[in-house]
Amino acid sequence: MQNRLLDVKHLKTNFHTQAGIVQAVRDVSFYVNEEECVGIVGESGCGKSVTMLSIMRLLEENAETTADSILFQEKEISKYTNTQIRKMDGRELSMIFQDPMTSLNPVFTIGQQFAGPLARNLHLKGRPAREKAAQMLKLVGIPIPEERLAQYPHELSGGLRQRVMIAIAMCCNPRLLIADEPTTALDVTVQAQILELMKRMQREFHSSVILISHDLGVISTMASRVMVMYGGKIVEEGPVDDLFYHPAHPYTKGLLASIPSKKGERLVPIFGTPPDLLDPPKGCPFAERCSACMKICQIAMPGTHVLSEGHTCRCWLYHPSVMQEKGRKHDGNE
Amino acid sequence: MTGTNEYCIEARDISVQFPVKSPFHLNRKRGEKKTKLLTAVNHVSLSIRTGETVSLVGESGCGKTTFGRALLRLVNTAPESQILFHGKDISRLDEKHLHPYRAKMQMIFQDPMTSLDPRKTIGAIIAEPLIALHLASGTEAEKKVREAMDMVGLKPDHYDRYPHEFSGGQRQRVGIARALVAHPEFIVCDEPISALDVSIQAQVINILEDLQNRYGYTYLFISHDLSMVRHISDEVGVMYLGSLVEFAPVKELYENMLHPYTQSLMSAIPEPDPIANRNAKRIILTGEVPSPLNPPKGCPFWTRCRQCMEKCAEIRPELRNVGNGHLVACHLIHSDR
Repeated sequence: MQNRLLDVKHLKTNFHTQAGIVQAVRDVSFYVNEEECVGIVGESGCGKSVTMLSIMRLLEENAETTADSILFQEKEISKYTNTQIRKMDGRELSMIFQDPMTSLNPVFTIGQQFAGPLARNLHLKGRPAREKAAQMLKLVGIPIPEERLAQYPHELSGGLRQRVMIAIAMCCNPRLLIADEPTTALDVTVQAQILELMKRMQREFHSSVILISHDLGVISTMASRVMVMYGGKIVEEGPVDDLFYHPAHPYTKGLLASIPSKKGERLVPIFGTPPDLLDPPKGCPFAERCSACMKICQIAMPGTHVLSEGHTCRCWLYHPSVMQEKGRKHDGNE
Repeated sequence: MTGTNEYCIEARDISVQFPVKSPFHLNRKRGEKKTKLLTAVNHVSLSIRTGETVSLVGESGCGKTTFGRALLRLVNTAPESQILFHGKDISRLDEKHLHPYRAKMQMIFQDPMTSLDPRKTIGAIIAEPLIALHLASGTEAEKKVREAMDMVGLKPDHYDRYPHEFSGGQRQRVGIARALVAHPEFIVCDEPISALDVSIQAQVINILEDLQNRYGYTYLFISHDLSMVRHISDEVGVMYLGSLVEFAPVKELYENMLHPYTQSLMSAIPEPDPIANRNAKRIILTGEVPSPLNPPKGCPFWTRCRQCMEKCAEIRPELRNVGNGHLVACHLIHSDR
C-alpha cells in the first residue's frame, strides 16, 4: 500500500454568523497518498475550499473546526497551535489560490514576495535568495526572470501571475500542494499551460497535489483519484476512470449528463438549487433535486457504501436492502 | 433553430477603436503620443440569419464582447462600418431614429450578480426596458413583466422580491426576462452561463433554446465554453486580437478546423474523459496574446503560431471562403482546397 501523506477523519467546520450557524463542512473524512493528485469537484458553496482552509487554519475567527484526527506525515496536526501550523507553511503544506489578481501583494515586488518563505524555511537571504527565486521563475517558464523579480504584480498578465504564485508555493519544496481553482480565472490556452506546468512540477518535486475545481474536464486531466462534494459532504469518491465512466451517485451522474455532447440533443439539467447550509436537510443533501429520491432519502442521511475497490458512494440506492429489492424486481421482469 | 435564409443582422467591416491615455506618463518613451488608439475590433464582417444562433469564441480581450456591443450600437464604430438590421442600415442613425430599433435588440449580461440593481425589485428590474423605451407603463407594464417572468420560469410571487434573495441561476433568469420583455428579435448573449455552476448552466441554456424555438429569436452567443458553443450554435466565429480568423457552420468547424489558432484553442480544452485526455496530444501555445495597443504586423497570430512563415509577419491574411460556408484567414490555406 502506498504511504498516506494526509489522513483526515471526521472534519467539521461551522461558521458563526448573524443569521445562525452555517454548517459548511459536515463530517468529511479523506486521505491523500504520497505523490498523488486528488481532485475535489463540487459547486460553489459545497465546502470544498473550506475543507482545505480548515486544514491550513486560514479561516476567519468566526469559524469553528473540529476533527477526530488530521494526520500529516503521521503527525497529529489537529492538536498543533496556529504558530506551529504557520511554521509548516511553504515547507510542508502550500496553497495556490484561485485569483492571481488578488492573491499577490500589490505593494511588493515579485522578488520581495519570495523573501518571506525563503528566509523562514530555507534561511536564504540576499543574493542566494534572489538566485533561488530567479531559478524558480525560470522553472515555471517565465522568461528573463531577473527582470521580473524587480517588477510589481500589476505589470504581469494573469497567466504570468499564476505562474509566480506556483513558483512561490513550490519554492520550499512542499510535500503537499493545495491548488484551489488554480485556472478558473484564466483563458483556456493559458489554462492548458498552467495544468501542464503543475503536472511537471509534481513529477519533479515528488509532491502530492489536492486540486479543487468545478471543471470536470480539468479534474479528469489532472487527478488520479476524485472526490465529489455536495452540501458539505463527500458524496462519491473513487479512481478517476471509475468515477467518470461508472458514476454511481445521482449527483455525479447529473453533473456528467449536464455537459453537452452533440448539437440538437436537449441538455439534461439538474433541477433546483443546492441546499441552504444554515439549515441543512436531515436526510440526503441531494434528495430535493434527485430524480431517484425515495422516502428514506428525506428522513435519514445515507451511509457510505463501497462499490468496488476505492470507489465509495454515499447514497441510499446502494444500501444492501435497496440493492436486494432492485435485484428482485429485475429478476421479476425477466 | 430552424432559420430562414433572410438575414436578421448583417455586420460589414466593423471596427472599433478606443483612445487610451497612458496613466503612467513617466513610462512613456520620448516622442510617444499621449493618447494611443486601441483597436478592439478590426474589420470584422459577420451575418446572422433570422432565428439562428451565431457564436463568437476567443480568449478574453479578443474583442468579442465589444463586437456584440457594436452591433447594438452601444459603442461607436469606425466610419466605414455598416450594421444592417433586416436590411436597414442603422449604423448612422441618431438616437431618436434608433429608438424603434432599441426594443428589437437586447442584451443578456455575463454576471448576474452585478447586472441587476440591488435596490430594485425583480418586477421593477424587468420593467426597465419598457419604461426606458416608453413601450408601456403601470398595469400594462406589470402584465408584460409577469408574462416575461412566466416565460423564463420565475414564479409570480418573485415579482416583489429583491435580487439578493435569489441564487445565480435565478438571477440570470431575471436578466433573460429583462432582455425579452420588450419582445426583441435579436439578443446578444454575452457569456450568459460562465458565472453559473455546471448543474445550473444547462437549465439556462434550455430556456434560451426553448425561447428561440417558440419565438424565433436570433442570438449572438458570446462564450469561451466551446462544448456549450457546439451545442447551441448554427455557425461559429473564432476571434483573435480583434480579428475574425475563422468562421464556419458548427459541424464544419468542429470537424475541420483550419486555422492554427482554432486548432490550438480546441485542443486546449480538457474534456471530461480521462482516457481521451491521457492520449490527447495538446497543442500548448507558448507566450501570451500580444497587447492590442501594439499589435503585430501581418497576421495577428504569427507571434504564437507554430507554422509561421516569412510572409505571415509581413502581410495580413484576408478572410477567404474555402467552400461549405467556411471562411478562414491564414496564409497556409489556399482557396483551392
